[in-house]
This record gives sequence, structure tokens and C-alpha cells, in this order.
Amino acid sequence: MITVFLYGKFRDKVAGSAVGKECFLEMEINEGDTIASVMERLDIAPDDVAHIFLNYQYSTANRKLHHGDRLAIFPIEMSVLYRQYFVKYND
Amino acid sequence: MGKFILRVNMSDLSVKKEDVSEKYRVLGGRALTSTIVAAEVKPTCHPLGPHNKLVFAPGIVTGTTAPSSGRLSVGAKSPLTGTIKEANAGGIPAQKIARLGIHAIIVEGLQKEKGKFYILKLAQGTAVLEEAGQLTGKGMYETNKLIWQKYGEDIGIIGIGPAGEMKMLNAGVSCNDPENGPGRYAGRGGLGAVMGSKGLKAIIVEQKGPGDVAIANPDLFKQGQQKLAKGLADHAVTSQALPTYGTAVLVNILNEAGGLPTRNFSAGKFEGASKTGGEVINEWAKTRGGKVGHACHHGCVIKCSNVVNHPDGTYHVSPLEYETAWAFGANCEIDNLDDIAELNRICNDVGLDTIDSGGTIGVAMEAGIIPFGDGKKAIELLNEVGKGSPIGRIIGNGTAFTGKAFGVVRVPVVKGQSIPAYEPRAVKGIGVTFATATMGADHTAGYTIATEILSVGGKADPLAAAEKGALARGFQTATIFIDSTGYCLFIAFAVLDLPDAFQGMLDTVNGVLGTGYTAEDFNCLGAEWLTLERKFNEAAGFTKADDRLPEFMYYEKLPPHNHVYDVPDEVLDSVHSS
Repeated sequence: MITVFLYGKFRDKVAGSAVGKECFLEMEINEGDTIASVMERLDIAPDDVAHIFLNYQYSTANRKLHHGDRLAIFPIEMSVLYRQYFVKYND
Repeated sequence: MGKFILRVNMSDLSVKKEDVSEKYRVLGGRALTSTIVAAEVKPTCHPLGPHNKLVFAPGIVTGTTAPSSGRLSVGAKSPLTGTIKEANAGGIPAQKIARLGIHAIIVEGLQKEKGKFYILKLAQGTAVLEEAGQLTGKGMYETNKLIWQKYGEDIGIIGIGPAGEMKMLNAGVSCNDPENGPGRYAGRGGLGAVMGSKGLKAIIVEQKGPGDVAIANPDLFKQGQQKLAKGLADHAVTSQALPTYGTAVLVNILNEAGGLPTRNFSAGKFEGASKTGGEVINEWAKTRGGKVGHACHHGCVIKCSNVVNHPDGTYHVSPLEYETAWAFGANCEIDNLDDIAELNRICNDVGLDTIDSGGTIGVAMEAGIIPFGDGKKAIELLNEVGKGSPIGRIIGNGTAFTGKAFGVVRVPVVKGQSIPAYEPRAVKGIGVTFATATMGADHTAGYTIATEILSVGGKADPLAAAEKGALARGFQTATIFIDSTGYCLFIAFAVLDLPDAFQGMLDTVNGVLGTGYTAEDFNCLGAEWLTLERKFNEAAGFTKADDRLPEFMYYEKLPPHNHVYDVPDEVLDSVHSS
């Protein structure tokens, strides 16, 4: 099980979500699941994503997921961040 | 139209026009304010005494039709940091000043009659000092309203509130927005106190129309303007994110990065972040009225500003930006955005920098003066500043002063200036900028470098440290160049990513000046101006020992990453010495 926090228009993927509250869903993961495969299951296209954080680390979509992970995904409309701020973890 | 410098002497109340030398002609914004301060102000002078000078300068392309270029630089020796200082703001005065042909305004001397304030009135062909009269002691909302009532709408206003009049170290300089709100602040470093020390309540600028700004090469300028405008329209940050959510979108992003300073820099993650960010501001614009995609000056195409309303749909404050939403939000553990908006409004009215005010309230909470998370008590405490009560004077003097007053150890400042909304233990590269900027902790002083090139956790060899330092300095030199053009720093998102947009920016500068600057000159000039600022600070008594983050960051681990600040001192030292 992992917890996926969604922002901006991705909040619509969670029934009853509201701006001003944390919007998250809990998902079962399978062996070998990556951020990209979970995004695919959520119908989130890679081009539509601005920022991904896995356990508070700025990440590419290639990283493998593990039980208990915290994943956060921001849509392209929220891409306010200087690229130089973080190392992008890629495993 | 020939440009000129206005020299305003508050001791004898004279206003004189001076010619612009060739050396000064090619400078604008921060390069010009810092060059004048370095040439005319003794670095060891008392910042509120007779020998400090306050300089106002629009940027090189300000007043032209170049997009998002209406910035005004304000410079002096800072009473907050003791360093040279430049703070810049949007709003409507800068373009009007440039269109009157004014290259810079130098305010010097001190008024003879203590407690007496004046306004400087600028219009085509005239510049006069008048007594401020009933404006004295007024907050900035009323000041702006009275000025528009008396002198007409669309007047540009640069002014100080009661905090500046009382010479408090955290007093900022307000510029009005197109709707006459006072929220566009050259906020940092206490420049409002310098203005107050000279007895200058406000500068009012009467100017209409496009004016007659000299452009040496109109074809090149036009070509550059088009390239830059296209870049700003194409880039996702400047065309989508900033106008939709404003800068406060960063609240949730930095929170997910574990880098949102929380409860006076004791954690990097805030439970109430979702209630205080740009998504809520965007939602409120739909449900309460107000606005996102608000332009702080005519000709801004990025429009990151906003107008935030009360629940009943009436106007509350503009703008509510990331730094402010964080300073009074996560930093004070306040998750009520209406309370945060009210704290922002008080700052705009009394005339305070919001970043340092939030830092101050956080330190006061740490000291137990009021509890963390109590927005209503924070509002009461901040309201004391405008009254000039003893506690209000402590709070109005900023984070470092308040920390000393109450014996707090966790005081998040560099060179006396409050650290902005990026926790250095989580975003280590920006810690280099905070530590080594000529202005004290300043998130706008230079882009940051990613941690993998900082040898975090390891000891850097001297040569490698020098290379890293040079890289960090490169970001600071790029920033000082943009701060001198008059462009909003947010054009950097586009010009760093899109070569055509970068060339467009250079073309507009060369078009206005008739110069042939290349990208290499851009770096050389930036480095030259940075060295000038650095030398002023050295002469004022600053050494590399001042280029450090506060000590607690080196021994307190910050959750959720549980890191201390571990960028080697050699890297910090090499930023300006390599």
C-alpha cells in the first residue's frame, strides 16, 4: 500500500476532494511497480506532470515503489520551481 | 528627451537637476542604486544618520513597452543588515518616473525639524518638496487614498507607513498598484526607515501616457521585445502557473519537498499547508470574487499577482504571495488563510516587510509571547507596531532584534535579515545564496545550485570548492543583471530555458542603450556590480565569517529529511573569492 497525494486538476481523481484539504488515495502496489506505472493506472500522462516527489525527494517517474511510500504529483499548470533547486532522484 | 538625476536635499529642502554622466547612462535599477551608494555613502556611516543616502532608480528598459519591465530599485546602506541594500518593487511609479526622464532620485541629508515630514511631487518639468501635513502618521491605505483624492487618480505613489516614520528596522517602501493598493513593496532591509529618517513620507509621480523614453536602436529593441514576449507566452511557468495560481502554489510544492520552514524553522513540513496555498487563493477568486492573474503594473504579461477578498466578497488584500503565505502560515503554524491575509494587510498598511514580519512573529511564538498557531493573537501583536507601543517597537525592528529581546537561540537570519521560505537544510543550494548574498538572506539574490554539486556530507577539495563557488557566483551575477534591467525577475524562468527569449532580453537592453552587450558581457557586468557591493560590505566591516547560516542549522536536524546544513565552509568562502 502507498499513499498518493494529488494536487491541482489531479484532485478530480478523488471523489469528494476539496481545495483546502489534503487530497490523497491509498493504492495497492505490485512487485516492480514504478511511479510511471502508478501514474498510468491513474490515467496521468507524463507530459501533463510538472513535479513528482517520492518520500519528499524530487523524483523522476522511473523510481520503484515500496510499501509505505508517500508519492505526490503536481500537474503541469503548477510548474513553478527553478530546476536548480533539487537533485532529481532517479534510483 | 534627455535624462537627468534629481538630487533632493532634506536638510535645506532643495531639489536640483543634474546631468547624467556616460558612466551612469548605461546603468539602471540595482546597478545604478548600488553604484551611487558605493560612490557617495561612507560604508561605516550610521544608516539612519545624515551620511546615508536613499536612491531610487527605474531599470534600463523601464518605461518602454518591453513586457514585465516596470520595476523600481531602491538602494541605501541598510539599517537592518548594515550592508549595502537594493530592494525592488513593481507597481506603477517606476514607469512614470522613467517617462518623466528621471534616471535616478538621490535623497540626502536629514530634515531640520524633527518629526516633520514632506512629500516630493514630481510632474513633467517640475519637482518640488511640500509639507506632508495630514498624511503624517497615516497608514499606507489612507495615504494612497488621500493622495489620489487630492492630486488625481493614476498618480504613482512611493511611500512609508508609521513603521518607516518611526524608523523601525523592518520598515519597507511601498509602491502603489494600478488600483492604488499599497502592496507592491521594496520591502527588505529597512529602507522605509531610511526614508523616515530623512523626513520623506512619500514621492508622488504625476505622468500620463507612453512618455518619450529614448531608444537608441528602435529596430533592435522591437525585435528583442517580440522575442522575449514570445518566450514568456510559450513557457509553462510564465504563461500558465504564475497567472493561474500565483507564487503561493509553492506552499504545497515546498511542503512535499520537506522544505517548507514550519514553526520557526523547527520542521520542513506543515500539516496545514493545503489550507494556505495558491489553490485556495485560486478557488476563492471564483467563490468570493477577487482575482488571480492580476498585473502589478501596466504591461506585465506574467500577471502573478492576485486580489484576495473577505468571505463576504469585499476587498481584503493584494497581493498574497508565497513568501507571505508561508511567513505567517507554516512559519507561525497558522492555517487560516483569512488570518494570514489580515496579517499581510497590516504589513501593507503599517509599512513592514512581510517576510521579516512573519519571521518576527515566529520568533515571538518561540519565545512564548503568543502561542504557535494562534492567528488572532498574531494579528493583535502585529497591530502593536503601528501604535508604537514598547512591544510594537520590538516587533517592528524585525526577527533578529526580537530574538535578542527575548533570548531566543533559534533565530533564522543571515546578516540580520530573516531567511525566506526555503529551508536551507532541505534545499541546500539556496543556503549558499542566503549565506553569501551581499544583501543578507535573500531568495531573489541568485538562483540556487543543486545539492549534488555541493559535496554535501563530504569534504570538498579546494579546487572543487572554487569551481562550485564560481558557479554559485554566476547565478548571483545573472540576477544582478536582471535586477538592473528593470525586468521582473520572473522572466528568468523563460530566459534561462529559451535561448531566443534570453537574446530578446539582451536585444531590448542593447536597443535602449545603443550598446552591443553579448551574453559574456552580461556575466562580466554582473560580476563587476557584485564586486562593487561586496567591497562596500567589506569596508563596512563584513568578513567571510558573516557568510554563514545561523548556527542552529548546523546542529539541529530538520524533519522529515533529518538533515543538518552540511555544505562545507570552503564552498561558501569560495563564492566571492574564487
